[in-house]
Amino acid sequence: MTSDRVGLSWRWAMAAATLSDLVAIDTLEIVAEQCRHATRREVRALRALARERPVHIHSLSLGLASSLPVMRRRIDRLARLIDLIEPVGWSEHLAFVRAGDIEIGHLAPTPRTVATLEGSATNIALATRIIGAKPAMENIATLVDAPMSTLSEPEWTHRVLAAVDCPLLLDLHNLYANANNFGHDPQIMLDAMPLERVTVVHLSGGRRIEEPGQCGRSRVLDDHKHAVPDDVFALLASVAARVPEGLTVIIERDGEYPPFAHLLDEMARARTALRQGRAARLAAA
Amino acid sequence: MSAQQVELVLARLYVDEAARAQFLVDPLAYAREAGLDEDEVRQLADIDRIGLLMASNSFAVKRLGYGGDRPDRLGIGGWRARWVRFCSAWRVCLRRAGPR
Repeated sequence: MTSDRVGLSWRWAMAAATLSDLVAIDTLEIVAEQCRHATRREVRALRALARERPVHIHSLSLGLASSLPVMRRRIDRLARLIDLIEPVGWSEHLAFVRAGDIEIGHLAPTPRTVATLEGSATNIALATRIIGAKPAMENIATLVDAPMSTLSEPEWTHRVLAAVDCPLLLDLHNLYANANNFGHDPQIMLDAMPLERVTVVHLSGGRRIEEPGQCGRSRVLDDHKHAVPDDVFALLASVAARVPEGLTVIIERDGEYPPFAHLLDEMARARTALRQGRAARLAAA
Repeated sequence: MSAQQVELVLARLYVDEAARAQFLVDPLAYAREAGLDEDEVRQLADIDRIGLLMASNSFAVKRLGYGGDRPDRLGIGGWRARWVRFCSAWRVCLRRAGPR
């Protein structure tokens, strides 16, 4: 019997609503960078929240998927936060965020090569050693097809995670966006990912933005400010049909906050998709 | 050129508008000047240019203010919290110093 959990990303703007409806939320995910300027009272509040519900810490700024060494002080800072809040797990991204003294500002697609594979494994192993737990590594959405790559995204993801034996945080909207943006079938791309490693799933929404100078052509921007598309819920059912272990599903929302009831509805849809997937798995067995 | 140098070249293209403009005018010359070998020069010249522009714009927006959903990350709310902590710490110092 699987123990699936469905929850939300913790956002201060939705704190009151989240706490009011905590009974409907199985788990929460806290972005580490949002705690950087948190007061002691706020950190204590998050620690108390972690005692009410399983909490995951989600980091954005380590840039582990890189041939460049990760900044040690960033890992130390994250480790201190994890020690304070005591989450059930933590996660990061298969992306690089800086090079030398250049801060890119967000998650950039790592060139998918053997060299970055090795560098990523070294960085992830270091972070694991310092923090004391393996991260779930998330696939990213990107507007630019990872330049100078020799491996496909699923193949590179397989090999990085196998090198460090880490779980996969599968962001289904990221996969959907990349498939749409670069001419792949989302279901085929999903089937090629290391689904046996999936422990956490992210769901979110985005919007289409026009390609500059390309009349009528657009790409999907994963901005976390829109409803989760139906196709993404269908991908979730597909994951649930393939993965026997319990899944933690997090609905991400970073702005344009709707009435909280909409987010509760999305959580209910996620639960329905999980049930459908589990039922399909049982029927196929 | 090492993989690390390749990432440096890419990072500069993502954040430096002038470098990006120079690259788009003559990608082969830019890549050679950056020290890439001929194989890498060809690969970089084949970059998804539309995606490069779109991603660079997206990164610029993020650099302007990633603070999650805390718009007053270092604004009034953040400075007020620091002021309150400073006052609390000052009161502790005064108590420890004792009466004059």
